Amino acid sequence: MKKVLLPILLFGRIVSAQTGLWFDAGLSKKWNKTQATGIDLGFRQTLGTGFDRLYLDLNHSSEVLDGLKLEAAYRLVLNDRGDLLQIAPDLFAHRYQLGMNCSLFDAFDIGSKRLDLSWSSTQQWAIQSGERNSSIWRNKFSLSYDIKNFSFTPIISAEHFYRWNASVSYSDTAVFINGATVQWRYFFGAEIELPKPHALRVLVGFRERASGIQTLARISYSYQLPTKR
Amino acid sequence: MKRLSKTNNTTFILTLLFLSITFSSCVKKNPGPGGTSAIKGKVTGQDFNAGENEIQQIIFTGGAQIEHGDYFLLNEVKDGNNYYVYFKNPNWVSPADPAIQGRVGIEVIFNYSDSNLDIALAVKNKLTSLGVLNFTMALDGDILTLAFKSRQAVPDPDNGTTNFAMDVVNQGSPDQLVSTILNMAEKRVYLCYGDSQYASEDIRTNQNGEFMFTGLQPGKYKVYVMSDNPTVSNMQNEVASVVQITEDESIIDAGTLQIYF
Repeated sequence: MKKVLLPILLFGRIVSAQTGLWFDAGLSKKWNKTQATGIDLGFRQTLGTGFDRLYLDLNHSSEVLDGLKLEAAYRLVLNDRGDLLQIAPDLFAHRYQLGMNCSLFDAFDIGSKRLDLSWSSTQQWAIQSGERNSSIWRNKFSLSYDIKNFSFTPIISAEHFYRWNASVSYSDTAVFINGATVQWRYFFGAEIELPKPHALRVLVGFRERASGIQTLARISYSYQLPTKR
Repeated sequence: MKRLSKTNNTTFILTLLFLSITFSSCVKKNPGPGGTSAIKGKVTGQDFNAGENEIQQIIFTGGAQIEHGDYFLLNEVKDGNNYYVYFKNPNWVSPADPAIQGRVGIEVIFNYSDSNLDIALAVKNKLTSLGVLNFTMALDGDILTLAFKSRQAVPDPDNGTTNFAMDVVNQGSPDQLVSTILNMAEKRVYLCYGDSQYASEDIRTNQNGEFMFTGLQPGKYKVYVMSDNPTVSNMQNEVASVVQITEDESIIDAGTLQIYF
């Protein structure tokens, strides 16, 4: 009994403290078969600590090959100050992303149409006053399966963050900038099938950083604007 | 993979254009943290011991206790000369000047009926009439205080043949500057961003007196350390160097900041 209870209690303790709660709501518009634009509003909070960040994200994707999308995004982020929400110029950050998303089964016409394995590779730059610019290469693999006659589509993903300028060190005459893995992020959950223009995703997971492991819970809602025919 | 037909990438290109414009407009940063450049330098110092200003006091007696020809000695009065002050009673016909060799004599007329205050005032007035002296004078009753202007050791005054009381209230001494230049370890160095008048960060020098501010953006900075002020006791002033970081990943040398300690 102890063998079961202790891990459960420990897990419960980890989950309840410092858990990140991420909420996203977005609008998306498919201009045609290949072009789509989205706008998202996100709010992040850490349980037991307080406000984490608020952001507005603009993104656009273009499907250049069957199963291959190019993506670009801009995000305006309001970061926390001492876990509090404050509006100050030095708390705003700008994030830029350029990348691609490859739906592997689609691209190579293999496997069931209900199964999706995608790989996204994104280069991300972030700028914030008083903070060192960050340049991060993100790679994410996600797998989902659309179960027939079932309103949940399970999703699992793993993402790797490599920061090109993770450490800066100085000699007497030179500056050395080295890259390093700064984060691993894992999610699992499901997309809940709602009436057509709506979409809802509920995910839980954790991320592993130098500062430790943080459990995450993410709820994402999106509404797709109708496409002109 | 099949290439999609009729792919319209105009929107995507516009998106990239938007991103590049916003990126270039946001990328400028002010001087301060968040960069990859650094400012280095060194702090050296010379041991400086500030001297003391000598203060002497003379307490005068009344005329009844002074004889015709009495004198007392004052040193470093003017232009590096030593003086003697002698008293002449106009009722006496013999010369009052003791004619002490190597000194300049000052004659003060007195009467036996003069009070100690009269004698003190007469001496002060006589000294004032000499012009610019090496000391300032303050008379409080029968106490004449001589405060020397420069920091130096002044030979003590002597009451000579009078009964005046002579006192060295503060012994003067000269400034001492050790010629050896040392690397200043553990010295606090301050950094001001841009034209700011106030320091935004500070660090301490290492055992060799070297310092480095890291993680800085391009821009103008002022580095300074505090030094003892050699001209004013117990005062400090900054020894500064203004530098300009022009590009990322560069190390700018602020040079050597030499201080007195």
